[in-house]
Amino acid sequence: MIARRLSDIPVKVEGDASKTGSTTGTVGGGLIAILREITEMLERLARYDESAAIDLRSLPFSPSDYQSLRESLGTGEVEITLNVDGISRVRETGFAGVWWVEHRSPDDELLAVLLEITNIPEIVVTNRDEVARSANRLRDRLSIHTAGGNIQ
Amino acid sequence: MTTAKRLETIEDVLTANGVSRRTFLKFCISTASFMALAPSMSTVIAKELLKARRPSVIYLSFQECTGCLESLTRSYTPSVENMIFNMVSLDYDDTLMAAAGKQSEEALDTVIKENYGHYMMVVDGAVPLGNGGVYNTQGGKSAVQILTDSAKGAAAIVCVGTCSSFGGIPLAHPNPTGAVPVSDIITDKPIINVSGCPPIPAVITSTLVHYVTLGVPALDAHHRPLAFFGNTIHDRCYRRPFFDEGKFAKTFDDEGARNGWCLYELGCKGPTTYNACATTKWNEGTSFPIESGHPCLGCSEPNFWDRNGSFYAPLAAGLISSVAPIGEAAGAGAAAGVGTAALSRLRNRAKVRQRATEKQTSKEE
Repeated sequence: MIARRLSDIPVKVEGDASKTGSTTGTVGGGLIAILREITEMLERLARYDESAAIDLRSLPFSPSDYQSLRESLGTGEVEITLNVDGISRVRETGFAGVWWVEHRSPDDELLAVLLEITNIPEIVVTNRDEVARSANRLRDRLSIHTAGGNIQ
Repeated sequence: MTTAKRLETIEDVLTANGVSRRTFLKFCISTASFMALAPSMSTVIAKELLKARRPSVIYLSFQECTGCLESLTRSYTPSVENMIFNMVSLDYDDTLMAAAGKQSEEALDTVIKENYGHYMMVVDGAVPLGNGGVYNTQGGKSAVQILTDSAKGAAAIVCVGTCSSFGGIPLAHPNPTGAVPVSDIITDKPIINVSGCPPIPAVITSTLVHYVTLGVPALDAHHRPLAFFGNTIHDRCYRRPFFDEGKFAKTFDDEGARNGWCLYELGCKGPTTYNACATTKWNEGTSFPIESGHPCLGCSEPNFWDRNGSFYAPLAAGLISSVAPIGEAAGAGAAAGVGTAALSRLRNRAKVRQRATEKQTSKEE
């Protein structure tokens, strides 16, 4: 067979759950280690309100490991899409306080994938300085719309 | 300054340019992830960057082709990479600045005087020492003189590209101008080499961000940031499974080439080249040379133009084992590759070895 595209190159991914149809098969040592780490981080969040994060791209994970991790964590109630210089997706997993966060560039290139263990990821929270600036901007706009009048 | 209020901190500039705090935070998160820092460092970077005074930057160009500056300014994700221009005060760059001639030289003098001891120097291009340095002059001064004068008050020097880092193409045989890298001339300042011909844009900007926020990053033996130059191209190459299986393309249009097999026998320098191409890639993360079917030229390494005889001659086992920090697996695999190539390339290898010996001898001299 002549490979015409990158995807034609026969690189075999071992233990791909999507192929075996099993999600309950052997759980790799790496996966167990990260689930333990998340548990500890959750306990710290519950006890001391201390946030933490794991950079998923820094782990020596295969695509199937990511899939297993995703399946182990499941899906929660919240899904937020941010339009911040490209799309960022913030999804709560099935475990409250564990967020799967993906940041992409305007060209849809993956910039970072994080697991954030926090009440709400910082990128979602509105910045206080920006709130103050919004108030000023809105006041300016009102003064333009109020013909001849100064609302202050 | 004629402007009523100079924008001093990075926060001032971001606000003035309407960059939202989320955009900024995303930039910091991406940079931390890209530099393999702990995720919590993104918050530290964000905090440090916001309150940091924008460092004054002097960008000097010597024996170079401007490809590095093109790489930096024409990146395809302008919103992220160009954010660096909000974070530094680029006070002198003879290619980009509007001023010319006497005015631009005065600008350089002023920047040095006003920011003495604090400015960052970015150098692009090798420096010729032959015949008193006459092969590269600007405003009646030789490159070596400009470099030496400007470096005196610099806090640190970032060498962008292989020419300023290692001499690059100007230093290639027969080096008619006596070109040398910056580190041969300046020995009393911290030097960060961001090599590559050109370097990956995000590697340049992330190194600058790291310097502004956390200082000089961890460096390898060639003074390159370890975060990007810690692995060889070969270590992270998606064609590595074929190398391990001993499947090699022998010519550019044979079955192996069409099947995307390893390009080792076509001269790939991936096993001895440290850079982030295989993971970061080029052109919006589209691909890197090996993905387009061409062997790595090894452009981020010292003497890349001459070091292996030819871009298309396979690395000889002797050369690989003489490169100090190479991974064991790469060395062993490369030796196997040479075995398969041995019959057809005996003559070629002899030549390569001879050149390597000559090089070694000239180095020792």
